[in-house]
Amino acid sequence: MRKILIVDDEDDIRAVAALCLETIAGWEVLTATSGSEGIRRALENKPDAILLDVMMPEMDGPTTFQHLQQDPHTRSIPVLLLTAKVQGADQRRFADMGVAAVLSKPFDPLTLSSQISAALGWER
Amino acid sequence: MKSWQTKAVTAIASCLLLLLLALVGMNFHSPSPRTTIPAFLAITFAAAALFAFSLVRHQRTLGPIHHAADISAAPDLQPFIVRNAAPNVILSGAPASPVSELLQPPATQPQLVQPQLPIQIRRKNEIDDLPEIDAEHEKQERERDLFHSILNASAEGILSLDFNDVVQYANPAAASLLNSAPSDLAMRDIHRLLHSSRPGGLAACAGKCTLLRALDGRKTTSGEETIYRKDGTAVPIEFSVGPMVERGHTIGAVFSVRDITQRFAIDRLKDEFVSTVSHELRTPLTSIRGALGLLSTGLLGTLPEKATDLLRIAVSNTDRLVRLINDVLDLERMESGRAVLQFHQVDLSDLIQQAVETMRSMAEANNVQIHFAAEECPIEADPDRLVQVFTNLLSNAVKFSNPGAQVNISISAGDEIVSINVSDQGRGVPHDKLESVFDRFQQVETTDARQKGGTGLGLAICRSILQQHGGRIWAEPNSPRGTTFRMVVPRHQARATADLLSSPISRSLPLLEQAVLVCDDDPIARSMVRHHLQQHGYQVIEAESGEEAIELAHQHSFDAILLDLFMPGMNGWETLSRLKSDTATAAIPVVILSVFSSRPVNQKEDIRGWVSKPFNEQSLLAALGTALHPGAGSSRVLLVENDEPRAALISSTFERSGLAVSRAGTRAEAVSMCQRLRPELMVLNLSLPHNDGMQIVSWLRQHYELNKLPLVVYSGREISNAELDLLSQGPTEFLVKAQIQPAEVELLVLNLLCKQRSPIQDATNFGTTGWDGRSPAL
Repeated sequence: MRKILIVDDEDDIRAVAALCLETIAGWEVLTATSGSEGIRRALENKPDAILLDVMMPEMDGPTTFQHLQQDPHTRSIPVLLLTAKVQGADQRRFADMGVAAVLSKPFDPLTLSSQISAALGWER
Repeated sequence: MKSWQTKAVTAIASCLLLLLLALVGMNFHSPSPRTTIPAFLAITFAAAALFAFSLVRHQRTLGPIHHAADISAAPDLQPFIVRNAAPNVILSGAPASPVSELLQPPATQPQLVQPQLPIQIRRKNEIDDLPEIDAEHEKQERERDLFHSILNASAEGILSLDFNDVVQYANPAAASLLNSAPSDLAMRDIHRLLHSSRPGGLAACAGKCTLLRALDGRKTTSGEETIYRKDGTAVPIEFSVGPMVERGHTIGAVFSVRDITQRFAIDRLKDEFVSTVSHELRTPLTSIRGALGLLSTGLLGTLPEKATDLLRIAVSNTDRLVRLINDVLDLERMESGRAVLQFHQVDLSDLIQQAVETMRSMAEANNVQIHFAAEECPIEADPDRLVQVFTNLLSNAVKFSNPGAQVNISISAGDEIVSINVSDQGRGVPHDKLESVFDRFQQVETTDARQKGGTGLGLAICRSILQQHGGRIWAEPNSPRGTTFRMVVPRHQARATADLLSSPISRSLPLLEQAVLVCDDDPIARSMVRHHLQQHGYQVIEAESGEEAIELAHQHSFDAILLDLFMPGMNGWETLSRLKSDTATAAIPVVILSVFSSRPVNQKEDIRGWVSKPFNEQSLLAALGTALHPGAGSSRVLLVENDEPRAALISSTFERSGLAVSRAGTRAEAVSMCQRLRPELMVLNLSLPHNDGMQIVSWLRQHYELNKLPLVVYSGREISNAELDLLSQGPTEFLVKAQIQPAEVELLVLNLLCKQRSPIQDATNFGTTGWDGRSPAL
């Protein structure tokens, strides 16, 4: 069973996304409310993938990603950025960073899990 | 002179006369020196009295002959008010000879000899017996004062122009907008007044600035424009101009103007606001959509049917809200020049097929068939955007079609340009809304938005996307019913500069929204012309006679008229002369289509081109292109710089070299001026705020026609590699240093322009020419 870590400062989004992935895809879901907590959880639990929000106070998504990349224990965990910024330029900037995928908000709850699977090459 | 005075004088004169007679009589009886001298004296006295008497009589009539005009000039006659005086009235008041007057009974009152025209002449202080005239006059004065107060108090500048657009009156607001005294504005041509201080002078307007177009239009028009005060400072304004009519004749125009500097600043803030807000809105929407979506799957427990219905409604409206936010942001970005398209080599057919597939389920649900005859069509475009356009148009077509109807989407491919049509047989867009459907939030009927689930922005976005591809979209009615949406897109986005400069067909590539009127009695000729021109993106309206052409030319604003000569009824020459003698249509360039191979030698009419029949596509387009873009005059340079003093300095340096310089201070201005003015070169400060500089470059490099626009860029900072790449896609010169010397910029500009104009292109010049040897300073 896949283990996903969701990192987002918005409580509701965390709750909805978690419920989505648990109910529809049957994955195990962990959550974190900030970038730093996310890094801690990732180190502790070694999830199969991290769903990472971009706009967060203190440490934003890209910075968190950079930290994850620097640490050899977390470097190989694929990261998908979740963002409300849908402008092409921003999306390209994120993609250039080396994340596995960039998903836009609002996401379609019915297809979130399949989008993640598709991006990471997992079977359904 | 009162009657008693007359009586007194008469009495005295009579006495003196009697005395005279007495003395003369006495003299006769006994002539002696003692009586002769007094007799002489008496005679002299009498004569003098008579003379005085006649003078007095003179005074009672109005003396020498006066013209009405003189009365106002003559100070002694000021007390008299002339009413109902016709301009040439002569007051006759010369008396008959004094002696004959004397023998007549004296008049008891001053008597006026009847003048030729009815006049009432009264002393001003004798008017008490005419109260209604007094009141009338006062009322008129009060009204006049009121109007003056209104004009003085108005915050909007108001000017009145005569028939030749010369300022007759300017209210204080207009004067202060222009930093001049009202008297300085009078008797000046309004266009000169507002644009002669612009960079490049009136030549920069090239006869086609928004202001001139409005003034030539001869009907009420509004517009936005930048005007320039005497000292050269620019003011963005919104203006309105309309004819002034008195008793059925146009006697001039009223020009009203308002400063919109504030509004521009606000627009910029609005752009940023929209961006931020749309981002903020997505966050709660994410939760809502997620929660509702999950509930509606039923995986969390089945719900009663009514509850499921409600959920479905909630989900679909959330989706609609998301679409709306996307659309609004989309549109804002595209229109402010910030959206950057990704061009790839794609097959247009594939893209259309994708759109058709996406629409298939909706079409089936509405029992509408979508018909598309696929044919391979390679094109360079942004595939996602084009699919967006086709999906949108198909969606509209299906929505507004009746069940059982068919929607057609087809391609017509030319060498350079492809045209795509989407047509339906539904309710159709009404004639008067064919243009406005492309505006934001315009739907044909207000119920449409709610029932059909549209955002109201779809067509506006389509238009933006087409424009970004260098193409066009417009709507035409179908007969008997329905609408066809036509688009034209160029096949290639990146073209070598040589092509743009030398090939006649490419020079005829239309500026956006070029409308041409074709007047020919032969329907086959008309349809041939129409076919050729539409392929190249022109909008074509047909007229089958001279009369119809003239009428249409008054109703629509055309950029050119193609005129056949040999027509029954009103022939081409007569049509031409009517068009040229009417100020409303005189400025439209006319190209003659004729079986004659060249124009007659003594032809004096203003004809901008001549195409002989039978014509081919090339000659037609070349003639039209030349008529539309005369290209005469000095090189047009656009300077994009927000720092006023520096911009002014650079401008004046350029003008001394004979360049026509236009100025833009922001990305929005630069984008709009590029499209309108088609400059030959742009001088750009890369360090504009909000990264406007590089965004302008991105926009340019993706624009079909402007992507190879030569650039002279300067910046106070280093240019990154990515930026360098983007800039090097066209001929560019760089200045990277802290203090820009206008003379250096000028040198680079002239250099680039020379290279551009030379027919032999040096391949190495397509790269960048850095200003080596100068260390980039920050």
